[in-house]
Amino acid sequence: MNDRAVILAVASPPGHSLRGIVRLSGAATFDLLGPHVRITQFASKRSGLFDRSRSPRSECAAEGRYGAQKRVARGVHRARIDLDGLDLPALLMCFRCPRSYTGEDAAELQLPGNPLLLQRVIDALIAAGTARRIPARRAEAGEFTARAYLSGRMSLTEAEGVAATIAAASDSELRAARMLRRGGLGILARELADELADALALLEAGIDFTDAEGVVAVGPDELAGRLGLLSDRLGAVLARSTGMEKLGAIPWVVLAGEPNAGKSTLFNALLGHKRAVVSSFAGTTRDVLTEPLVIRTAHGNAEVMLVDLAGDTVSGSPLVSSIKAAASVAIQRAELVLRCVPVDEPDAAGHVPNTNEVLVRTKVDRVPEAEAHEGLGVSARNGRGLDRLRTLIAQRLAGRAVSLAADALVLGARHEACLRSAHGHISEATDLLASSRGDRMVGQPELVAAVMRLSLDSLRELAGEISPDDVLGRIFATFCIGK
Amino acid sequence: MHPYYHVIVIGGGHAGAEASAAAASVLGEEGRVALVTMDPARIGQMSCNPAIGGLAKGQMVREIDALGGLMGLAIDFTGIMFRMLNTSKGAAVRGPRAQADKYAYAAEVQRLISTRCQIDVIAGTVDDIVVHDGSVAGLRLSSGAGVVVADAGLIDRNLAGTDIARPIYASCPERPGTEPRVIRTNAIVLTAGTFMRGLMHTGEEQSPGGRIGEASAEGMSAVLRRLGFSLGRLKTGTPPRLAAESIDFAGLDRQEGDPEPTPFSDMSPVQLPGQRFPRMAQIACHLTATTSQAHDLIRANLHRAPMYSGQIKASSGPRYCPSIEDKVVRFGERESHHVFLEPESGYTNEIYCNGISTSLPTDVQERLVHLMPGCERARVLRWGYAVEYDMIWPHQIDSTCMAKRLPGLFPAGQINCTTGYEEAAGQGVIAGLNAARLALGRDPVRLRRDQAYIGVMLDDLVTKTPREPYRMFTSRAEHRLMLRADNVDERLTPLGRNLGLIDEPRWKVFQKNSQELAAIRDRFDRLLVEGRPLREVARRPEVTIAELMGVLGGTFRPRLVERVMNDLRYEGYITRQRVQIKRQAKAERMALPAWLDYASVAGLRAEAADVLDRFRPATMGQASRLAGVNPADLTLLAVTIRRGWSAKAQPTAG
Repeated sequence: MNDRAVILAVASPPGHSLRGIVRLSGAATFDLLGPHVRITQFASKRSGLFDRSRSPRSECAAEGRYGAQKRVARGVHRARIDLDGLDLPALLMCFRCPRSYTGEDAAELQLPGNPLLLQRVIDALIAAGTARRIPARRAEAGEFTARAYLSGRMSLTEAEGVAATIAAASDSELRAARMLRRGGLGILARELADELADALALLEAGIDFTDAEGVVAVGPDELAGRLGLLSDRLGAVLARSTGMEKLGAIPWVVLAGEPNAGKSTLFNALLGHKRAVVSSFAGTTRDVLTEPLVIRTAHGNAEVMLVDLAGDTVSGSPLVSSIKAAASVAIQRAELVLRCVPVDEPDAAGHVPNTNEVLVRTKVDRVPEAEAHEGLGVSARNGRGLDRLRTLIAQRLAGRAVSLAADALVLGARHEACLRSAHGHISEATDLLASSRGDRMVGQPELVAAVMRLSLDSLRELAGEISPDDVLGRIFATFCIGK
Repeated sequence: MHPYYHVIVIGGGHAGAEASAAAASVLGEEGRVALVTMDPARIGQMSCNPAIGGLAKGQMVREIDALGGLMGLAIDFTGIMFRMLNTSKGAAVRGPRAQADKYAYAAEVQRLISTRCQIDVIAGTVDDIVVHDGSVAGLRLSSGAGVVVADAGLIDRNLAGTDIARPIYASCPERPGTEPRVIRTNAIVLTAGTFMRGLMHTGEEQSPGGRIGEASAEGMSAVLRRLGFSLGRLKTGTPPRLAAESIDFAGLDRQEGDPEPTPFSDMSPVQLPGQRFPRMAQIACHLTATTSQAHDLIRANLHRAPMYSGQIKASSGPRYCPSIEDKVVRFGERESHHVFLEPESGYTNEIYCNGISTSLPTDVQERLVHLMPGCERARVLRWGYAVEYDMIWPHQIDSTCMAKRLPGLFPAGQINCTTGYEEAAGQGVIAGLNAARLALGRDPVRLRRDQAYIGVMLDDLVTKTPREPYRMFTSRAEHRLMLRADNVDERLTPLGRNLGLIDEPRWKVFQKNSQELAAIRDRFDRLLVEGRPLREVARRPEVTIAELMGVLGGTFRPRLVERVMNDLRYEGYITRQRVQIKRQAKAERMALPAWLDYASVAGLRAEAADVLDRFRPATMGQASRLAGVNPADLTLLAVTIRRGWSAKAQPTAG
C-alpha cells in the first residue's frame, strides 16, 4: 500500500454539487501538479513564499508556476488548472509533509462539481505523470487513511474511527465514530488487557514455580472472582453497544410521487434545513437524497432515515434510468412510503396502496383549510400538518427507530468480534474453573491459561497491537475512496 | 600448512559438548571437529547444582535427545534420583527432573564425545580468532596446546561400573606443542560459559576464575571487543558444599525420587551401557531450612556481601534464583527458607545446599550453615561464591546462533546471557548443527516457536533485551500445549533425521514408536465405549490410563497410550493455536535482508528504526516481536521488502 506513487481520488460526495474536490497525496504531489497549475492569487500571510515581492526564492512563483520549487507554501491559493485542453478555475490547498492528513505532501483541488469533470482531471493528471515518469494512480479504498496510519499520523483505532465517520449517516453513528477516533475503545481494551494479564500472571506463577516456596498460586475461587469482574465489564460494554451494521439498518421513510409533487420541499421542511435543491421545475431532484430525521417517541428521541426520490416520470436517458433503479430499490427497502400527491391534483387512478404506504396531500396551502380531501394534508410553506406527519411517522415506526442512547458505544464489526471473543474466552475459562471451585489449586491450569491467552490476544488486537496484515487489510477495505 | 577443521568448538561445557556431537553427526565420517578446552578432564562438568531438567528445562532435555543430543543419555546413565514435577497438573506443564552423580555425569559426557571419532579434543586456550574478509578463518591457540586422547582402559572400567566417577580425558596433552599455532576453520562455536573475565567473590575476597579451582579466560573478551561485539556483565552464584558424614539427617524430612523413574531419552535403556535403567543406585534428599537467627546474621553482615557492598559491578543476577542474602532482603517477613540437601555423587561425601547460594564471607557462611537444623556440626567442603563474567548481548546473534556481525562465529550457551545446563545444551545443538551446515555450504536452520522450547529460547534471545540471565519457563512458550515432553520425537526427530543428526538405531526406535502410535490412534478412532467413540471418552479428565489400556487391549506401551490421550485432551486448544501459527507463518518465512538501511525507510518512526537497526531481525516474524516496533512499522517494512527498495537502490525519480 505504501508505495511512493502519488495517489488521487475524488474526495467530495458522489453526484453533482457546486464544488467537487480532487485530493492528491505522495512525495511527488507538487512535481505532478506543477506544470498544470497557474496560481492567480497566492494565499496571504503565511504563504508569502510565493509572493515575488516577499520571497527571493520564488522565481518559479514569479511565473505563477511552482513545479520546480522544493518548498511549497501551505494554505489556499486561487489558481487555474491547465490540463488536457481544459482551463478551469480552482482553489488549490497545499499541505506540506509531515503536516498533512497523510503525513506526506498533499493537495486538494476544489473544482466545479461535475463528476465527469473531476474524473477527467484525475485521468489527465495520471497520464501527465506517467509521461513525466512520476508514478501516479487512483487511490485504493481507504488508502489516504492507510497512509496516514502508516506514517504514524493516527492509530489503528483512530483510523477505523475515520472510516466509520465517513460511512456514518446518522447522529448516533457519528457520535460513536468520534468515540472510536478519540481512542476510547483502545483505552478500554488496554485497561482490560492489563487486568487480564495480571490474572494470567498469577495463574502462570502457580504453574512454573510450584516448587518455589515464595509463590502462593492463585486459587480457583480468587481467579474466578477476577475473571468475573472482567467478564462483567466486557459484558456491560457489549450490552450498551450497537453494531454499526445495525445502525445501517435504520428504518427508511421514503418520499415518493410524481415529479414536482413537492417531495423535496417536504423533505427540507421535515428536516428543518435545506438539503434538497428545490425548484419549481419538474425533475429537479435527480438523485436519491438521504438524511437522518430525529423523531420523538414515547421512549425519547430516535432516528429514521428520510429519503427523497427523484420523480417517477421516466425520460429516456441512461442516467435517468439508473436513478430510477436506485429509487425502486429505495422503495423496496422502505419501512414507510409517504406517497406525495399535491392536494389539487387527482390521486393516481388505479393505484393500489401498500400497507406501508401513507397518502400525503402536499401543498394544502393552495386550498382552503376546511376543504375535505383524502390523506394527510401538509404544507411545507406554512407548516400545516407537519407535526401530524411527524407524529404519524413516530407511531408507525416507534419500535424500529434506533434509539439515541447517550452512552451507546457503536462498534465496527471487527471491534465487536474482538470483544465477543474476549468475553467468550473468559466465560470458557470460568467454566473450566468450575470443576475445581472450592479446591486449593486450579485444576487443569494450563487449559485455563490457554483460554485466557486467547482472550488476551483478542483484547490486544482491539488495542491495535498485533496481527498487522490481517487487521489492516480488512480495516482499509471498508474505507470509501478519498479518506 | 595449518591444520583445517570443519568446525572448532571452544569450551567443553554442556553447550560445547552438544555442539561438538551435533557437528560431528552432521559432518559424517569425513568430518573434522575440534573441541578446544582448557581442561579436557572437566568436559561435561556440572558447575553448580548437579541436576538436569525441571519444568520446561526437562522438555528441552527431551528435545535435545530427539535431535540426537547427549544430555538425555548422560543423565539417564548417571541419574541418582528421578522425579516428574507438576504431576498434579496436565501433561503440557509436567517436567522431568533428575539429580546426577556429577562425576559420573561428566565422565559419561566425555565417553559419548570419545565415541565420535571425528572429534579431536584439544587441551589449550585460544589466544585469538582469525578473521579474513569479514568472516571467521581460524583461531590461534596459545603455546602448550595439544590433542588429548580418551583413556580406553578407563572407559572400560567406567562401563563395567568399577571406576565410574573418573574423567576419561586427561587434563593436559601428553606431548604439548610449544609454539602458538593457528588452526584453520570457517566455523567456530564459542561456548565460554562463565569463564570470560570470570571473577569469583567470597566476601571481600576476589579471585579471577570461571569456576572454583579453574582459571578464567582473560583474552577472549578483548578479542570479541576488537571484533566489534558489545559485551555485558552478569553475575551468578553457588552455595557451599557440606560433608555428608558431618550432617545429622535423622531429624530431617526425606524426599525420595519417583518409585518408577521415567528416563529422559527414548534410547534408554536400549542404548545405555548394561541396558538397564536406572543404572545407578538411587538416593534420597533431605530437607532443612534457614532460621530467623540465620537471617539476623545475614542482615548484620550484608555490608560484607559483594552484591550489597558494591564489590560486584554486574547490575543484575537472576531473579528466579536469588542468593540467600537476596531472599532475606527481599522477603524480610519470612522467618525461614527451605534448603534441600542433595548428594552430588554416590562416590564422594559432597552435599549440595540447594537454597543458600551465597557470596558472604566464609566465617558468615559457616555460622549460617550451623544454624540450620541437622547441620549444627556440618563441615564445609567448599565455600559458596558469586561469579561475575562477560557475556555477549544476545541481539548480536541470530536464532541460528550465528553472530550477525561475524559470519562463522556461533556463540552458544551462557555466553549468550542464558543460565542452566539445558539452555546451554539446547543452544549447543543448534550452534553445532549450523556451524557444520556452514562448513558444508548449506543454509542455516532455525527452530520455530511452535516447534520447540529451544526455538522459543533462541527467538526470545534475539528479540528481547534480557535484564537477567535467561532461563526457560513453560509460560514463555505460547504454544506450550504442543511443546510437551511426551511428543518431542514427533516434533523434532524427522527434522533431525533430514539434517543428519539422527543415527540409524535412533531412527529405528522412532519408526517403531510411530507405528505403535498410529495403531493406538487407529483403535481410538474405531473403538466405541457404551456406544460412544473412545476418542471422545478419553477426553474426560477422570478417565485413567489403566482404563484406556483395558479398553484398547493389545500390548501397547502405557506411555504411548498416555501420549495419545494427551493429544486428545488438548486437541481443541491446539487446533485453535494452529490457526494463529498459520497466520504468523508467512511473517516467519519472510526474510529481512541484511543490507536494509532502516534509518532511510521513508515513514518509519525513529524509535522503530533504532530498535530494528540494533536488533537487525532476520525475519519479519522476529521483527514483529521487538518491543518498540508496531504493526504500522511492520507493514511499512513489508512493503519496503516487497519492492526490493533500499537506500542504495532507491530510484531517483521518487
